[in-house]
Amino acid sequence: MEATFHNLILGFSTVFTPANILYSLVGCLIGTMVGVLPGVGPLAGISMLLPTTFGLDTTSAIILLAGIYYGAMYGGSTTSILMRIPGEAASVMTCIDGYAMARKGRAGPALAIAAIGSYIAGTLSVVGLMFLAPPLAKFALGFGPPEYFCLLVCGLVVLSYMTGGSIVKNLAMIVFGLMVGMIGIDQMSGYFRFSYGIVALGDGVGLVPVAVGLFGISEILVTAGSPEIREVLKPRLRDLIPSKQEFKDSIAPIGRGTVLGFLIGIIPGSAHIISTFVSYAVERRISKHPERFGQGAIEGVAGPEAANNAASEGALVPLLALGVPTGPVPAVLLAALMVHGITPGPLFIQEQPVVFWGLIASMYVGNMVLLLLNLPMVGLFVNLLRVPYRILYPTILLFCVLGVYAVNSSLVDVGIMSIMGVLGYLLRKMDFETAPMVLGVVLAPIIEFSFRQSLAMSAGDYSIFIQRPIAAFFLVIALIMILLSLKPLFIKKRDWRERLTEAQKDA
Amino acid sequence: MKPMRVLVGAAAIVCMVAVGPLADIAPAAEPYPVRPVQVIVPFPPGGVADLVARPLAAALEKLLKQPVVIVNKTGAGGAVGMQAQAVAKPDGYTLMVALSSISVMPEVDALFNRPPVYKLSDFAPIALLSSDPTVLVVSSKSPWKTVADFVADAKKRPGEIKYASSGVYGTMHVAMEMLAHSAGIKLRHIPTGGGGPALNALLGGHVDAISGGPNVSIPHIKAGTVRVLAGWGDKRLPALPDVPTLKEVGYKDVEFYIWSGFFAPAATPEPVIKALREATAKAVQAPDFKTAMEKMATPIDYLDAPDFKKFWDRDAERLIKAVRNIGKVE
Amino acid sequence: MGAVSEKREGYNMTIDRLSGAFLVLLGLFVVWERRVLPLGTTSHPGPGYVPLLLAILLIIFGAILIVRGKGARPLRSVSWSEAPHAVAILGCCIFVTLFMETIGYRLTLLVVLGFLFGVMERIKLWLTLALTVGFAFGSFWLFDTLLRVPLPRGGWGF
Repeated sequence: MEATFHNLILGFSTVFTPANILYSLVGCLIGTMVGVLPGVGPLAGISMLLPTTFGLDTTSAIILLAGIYYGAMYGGSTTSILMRIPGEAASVMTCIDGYAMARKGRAGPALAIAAIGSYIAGTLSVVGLMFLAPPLAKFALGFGPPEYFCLLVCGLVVLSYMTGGSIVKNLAMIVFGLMVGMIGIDQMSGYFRFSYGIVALGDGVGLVPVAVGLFGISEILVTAGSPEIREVLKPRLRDLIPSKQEFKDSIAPIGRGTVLGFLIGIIPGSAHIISTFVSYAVERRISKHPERFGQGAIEGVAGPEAANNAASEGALVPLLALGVPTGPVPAVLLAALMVHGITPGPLFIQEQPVVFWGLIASMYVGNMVLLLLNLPMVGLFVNLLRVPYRILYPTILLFCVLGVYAVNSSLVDVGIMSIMGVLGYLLRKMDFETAPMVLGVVLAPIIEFSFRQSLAMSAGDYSIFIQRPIAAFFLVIALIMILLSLKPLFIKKRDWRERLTEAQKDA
Repeated sequence: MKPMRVLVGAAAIVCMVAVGPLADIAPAAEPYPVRPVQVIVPFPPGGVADLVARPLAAALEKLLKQPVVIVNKTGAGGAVGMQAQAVAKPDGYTLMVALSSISVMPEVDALFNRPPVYKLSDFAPIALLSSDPTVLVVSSKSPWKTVADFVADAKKRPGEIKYASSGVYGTMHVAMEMLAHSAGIKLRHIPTGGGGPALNALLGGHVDAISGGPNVSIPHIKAGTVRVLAGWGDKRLPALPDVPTLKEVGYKDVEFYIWSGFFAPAATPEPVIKALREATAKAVQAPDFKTAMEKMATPIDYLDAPDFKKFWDRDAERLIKAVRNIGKVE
Repeated sequence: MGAVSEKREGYNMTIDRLSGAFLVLLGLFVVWERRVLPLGTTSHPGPGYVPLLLAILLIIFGAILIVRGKGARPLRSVSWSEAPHAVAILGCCIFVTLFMETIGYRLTLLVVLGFLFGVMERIKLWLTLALTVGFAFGSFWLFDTLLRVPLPRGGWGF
């Protein structure tokens, strides 16, 4: 314990040099910008700046890159709330209730709570990182394909509570998303599935074009021609600050989101976006007024945003504690370290205390910087909304195209985004929710791959899922939840969702 | 919408689109380069190809006096970027840094009766940059201390020993299968999504062995969590001088390198290729490049175009044979 | 929302039935396309296994929607008023997808933005020009020059 504080002081002393503070600031700034741009996420931002960091010294380089990383998480919620366009793929869930709040004139509080929630989650996660990194990382490594598969099955069951509307429609959307996610090379056998000779589809349709298309482009398509006048009043200060009630309502979701996000982030290979989905579903399930979700419930913004930031910090745990990157972004951070001659391994924390503790300290500082950066900008952003939509939407379109193209320098992605835009438009006309489809696209490769990997590991024996304790644990939870949700079949009460949907339609 | 306006606009666009590509038939004797040069890297940032390409681009920029920009065109295990390079204009402004998997793709396509995404003859080699042999890494909890132990155990329980790879027909898969074929053993293959996840699978105890890249494996070897039994190279690795090569242990036809090479489209004019070859030869001598590669524990293994072509042909032959031996996995 | 006052003859097409039909068709399409992929066995599933499973699920869901679809909103109640506008925007997206690499980023954007601002939204000429040129060139400068993210330059290097 004492050693930890001693090291923390060492870390802070490294960070509080003018150069490093500058790098932290620059990183956070760029991260926010990158996050605000639709589609372009932290990965693209870090890759863009990776070459520039070659000339810097190691600690500064990592501080800069890490700043971009969690800065992007802060920025991603801005466009989600203001325009229903995911700033980066993980911000999809914030689009739902965040945008609904914006339409009700509560954009300011939404942005503020997103920033505050992100700050709390980020800071708490760094504490977790500090103290729990090595044991947690060991635990994370124990997650093999069978555990992963069962976890995702459990997650799917939880997530069926994600949105309102008919269960059948939601399930159909998830299945549809799963199928779309299967386009591309089958990683177990090398077959190309449903790609019709277009090589660029080999890796699948990609989450970014799907998310930006289904949410952002479809929103433009629906709203651009509609004669509805969007009422935007000049915001008073009161409208920018969350009300006491909103604050109260957000605390618990932020707490839950932090824990959930951190744990999910640790698991190798899980995408941050899963943590936001789970947080949203959990909040909805626990809430006493689930029907508020989708209409502008602050919990639907606080929870996922906190989960998002916590997951991005959690993803660093295996990298720093064991030298094991859990996803594309930690992999690039790993590369950045390697370029400076450091290859993180299990002895990283001991051998490179300056880098490690410098990074930890910079995270505290960075989160604070981002909070101070984002809160005053809330007013600025809300004023952006007052630009007439006729001028606004071509600009938004421009940035969507730019963002989606920049990720992979691929026009095929832009094409996919357009198709998804049309699809989203039609789906909304037919009363389908689009969020479950994004979930399907994210999960498809992972779920199927884990399933077949597990069977390969056990040479076809299905009992591998029950033999391993963690896997069995998740399966049991999933079973319990399915049984719980089947309860209404035996108790003759109409599902609140069906009642609500019917009430809405009659209105 | 006034129809006339739309018509005029459409006509203008059609003209632009039609004329555009014609307008750049460059005169033959133009000095090279006069514009920024693009280097396609068919792999995501942070990967081996990317990490070698970036210092190279920086060094070349100083020599060619034009910006040299890296473009990551990822997908399909590298096929997307490689295909883009195969059809790129052969004017020397689109180049590529690729890995040894370039030789494997057309063969895999043939295996699946697909038209090949490109042919090896679509590329003109400029230089070899690095060539890391892979190493056989096993969990420290396993009973095998030498390759002989490993092979003997595999013979006793065929198909039981699990190894992870970065993907079907990827580098780690082909390398391990080469050994299996030569030693006459059968192993169980668990593909994962990449080099990182494969290493994770080994560290987590979900598989028993991998044939991995040395620079990411070395820290774990040093920390004692994994053990290294042999290397796939011609010579021992400088970083691991006590580790025998598979050739030394008796498998004379097993050789595998994750190498990175610099390519141009095949039809690029001779003077441009010459200029690039000269620039690259100087670039690999540049102190910045050397430092960068040293820090990444990736030894520079430079071969100029003619030697590289010989190396590439021999390596491609080995890889193609190995892929044919593997056949269809499912 | 207008209520259906008399009993209509013929089939009452609701949105659920229409979408259910699409799902069933999609499922059948996948089942058909999947025939080139080996199924494998239950203990060694091949690449075609899970797509088949999903396709069957989709068909089931689609069928459920069709059967229970009577109570849903009738198709004619769906308003398509913004469709022409949406089609124009979609056209711009397709234009970008097809032509951006051929004629270059800045040119494409000039065309698209000019079209959207000037033709679709009828914004005053000087404002249209300012916004179009400003955004097309400004964004290009920001990304290509400043951040070194290569944006397509089109046939003659522009």
